[in-house]
Amino acid sequence: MPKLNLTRREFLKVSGASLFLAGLPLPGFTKDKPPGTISVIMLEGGMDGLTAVPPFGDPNLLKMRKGLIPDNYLKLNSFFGLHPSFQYFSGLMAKNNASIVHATNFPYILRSHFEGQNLMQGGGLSPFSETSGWLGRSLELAELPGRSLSLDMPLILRGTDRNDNFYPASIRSSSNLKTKLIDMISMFHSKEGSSVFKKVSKKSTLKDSIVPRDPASLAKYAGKAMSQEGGPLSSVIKVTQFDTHSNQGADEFGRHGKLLKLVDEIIAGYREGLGDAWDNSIILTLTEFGRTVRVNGTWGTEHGYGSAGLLAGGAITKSRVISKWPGLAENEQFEKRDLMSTIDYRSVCAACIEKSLGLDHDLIADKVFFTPELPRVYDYIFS
Amino acid sequence: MKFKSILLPLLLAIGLIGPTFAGFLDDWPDDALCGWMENPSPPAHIVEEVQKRGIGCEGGKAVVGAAQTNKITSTNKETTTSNRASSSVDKEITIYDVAFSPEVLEKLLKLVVSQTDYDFSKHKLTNNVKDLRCAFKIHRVVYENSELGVIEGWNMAQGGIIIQGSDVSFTEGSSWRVGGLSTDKSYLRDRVNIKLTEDGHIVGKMAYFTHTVDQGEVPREPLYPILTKHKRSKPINLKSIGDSAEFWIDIEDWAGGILRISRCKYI
Repeated sequence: MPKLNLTRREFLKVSGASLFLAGLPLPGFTKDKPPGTISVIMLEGGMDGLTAVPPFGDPNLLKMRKGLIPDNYLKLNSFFGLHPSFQYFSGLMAKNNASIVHATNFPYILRSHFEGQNLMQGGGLSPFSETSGWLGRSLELAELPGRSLSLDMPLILRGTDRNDNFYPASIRSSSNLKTKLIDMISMFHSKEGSSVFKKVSKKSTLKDSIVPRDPASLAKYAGKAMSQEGGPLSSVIKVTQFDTHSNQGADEFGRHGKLLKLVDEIIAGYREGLGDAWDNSIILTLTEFGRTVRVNGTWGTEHGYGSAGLLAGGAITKSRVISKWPGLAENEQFEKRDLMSTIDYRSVCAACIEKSLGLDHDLIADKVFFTPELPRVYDYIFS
Repeated sequence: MKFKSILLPLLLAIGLIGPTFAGFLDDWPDDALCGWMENPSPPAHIVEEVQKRGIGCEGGKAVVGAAQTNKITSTNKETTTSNRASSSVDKEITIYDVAFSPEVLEKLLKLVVSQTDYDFSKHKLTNNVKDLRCAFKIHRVVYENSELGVIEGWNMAQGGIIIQGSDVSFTEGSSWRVGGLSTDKSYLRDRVNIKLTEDGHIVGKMAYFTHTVDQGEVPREPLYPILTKHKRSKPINLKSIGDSAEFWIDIEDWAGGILRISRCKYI
């Protein structure tokens, strides 16, 4: 089996990551300061929950997953393990500051990246049905205008017309030329478009525009910003390349393991940046779908359905794995190929919103996810 | 006998009609089922089939890609308040508590430490020195062409240092001079955990910038080297505080540093 021989540095170079901050409490707009902060790590490509959190207590796991399950996983209890890439996360589990929801996902079964990513950000009833995102709608309900730390506004944060943009680029060394260029471009745009360019021009020369680009540093920067009085209450970090159709690897040195390590570093970055604000924070991962239960012919996995969600933060006070385990036998799989999703991940998102922004579950279910019957799983996570 | 002749066809009829009725919707397209769902009171077997297939319906059409949610008909998004009596709770979820052995737990807890966390228990820290204020400079030592290292003539960082008991901190005006993130003075204020030992050594951990970053370049995170009793260090003479001191710091193969302290005065 061929191996990818990337150094860590090379790997980080090709691993895309973007940061978005949102939810600035503004005087006159925000009624009460929400009880905490919420951060989302979007894992694009379809994270393999069966490798990240192997259910070794299921007798079918090793039969169907030979070559993809690490030997040195950490035993969490008599049924679930944790991938060795999650060094920091395992420490948080030991400190009762991290949990896992398994066999879960957004209610999407057609296995398309574009549709799945749209649904996990939009939180609607079907792909492309919403022009705003579930986090943006939550911030709007909490009366918290957004701020996106990027040139584009990701769908997940859209939901309020009071959003603001900021791109972390340092262009001070050539400010005259670039500022003139931006001014010229802005002249050819509408009033609204022009104002965006002017904001970029102005904010790109600010001191806090100096931000390293690796994911862990972005998380630390986000955590630090969120820890400040009057700072943003929400952030989103996007990590790509989880689409491991071939050479997925099993351990921490494999392709998937390196990506999980990146997630671990992001969580560690948040922890460091948040400082004391960690105590009221919640971080959760999202992915558009899981992977097939069986290994394919190229030592990878195909697009699937159910996966696992990682939760971390001081808002969690008891570490646990939360699941309605469906089983891995062929007749227990979704369409005889995927891990079944038995917990609607929107319920998990709703619980995190309820905890961090102090909104009522029924309101979140109705106005954010348009599903009044959405079950409340808050007590499973936070009690 | 007459009763038996009636009962037999009746049982046969029930046996045949039952399964036939249960499967007659199998060939129905999703949209056809959703068309029925537009009725104010859709037939129970249609609702059951929609739920069984896990499809969602909106405006009489099956919603593409939406798996089963409890919401089958379209939702009125204009509603401003929740009109539900109580939240539903999924009662079939199991909590698998995390349980580590004491040895594993101890090992794991050590993983969640701050970059400046340092165990000072292996050092005898000073506790009877008067408060001091000194000047400091940090120089780079390059080992690329010399095993002993070449000390560069410029200051990577400079300013004042305050010693109170065993605690060592940098003064407000102190700064790194290598650009990038080092211009943020909080690194010398918040990312330093160093202390003075009885024999005048400075030990602990601190943020340390190894590279110069020019404007427009991608910034670099600091490293967090351990300051320990280096064999080439010259500790602070607590009996003659006017003497200068220097503390060698091992950082990377190609370069290290020296923290030089001078002009100490009691405050």
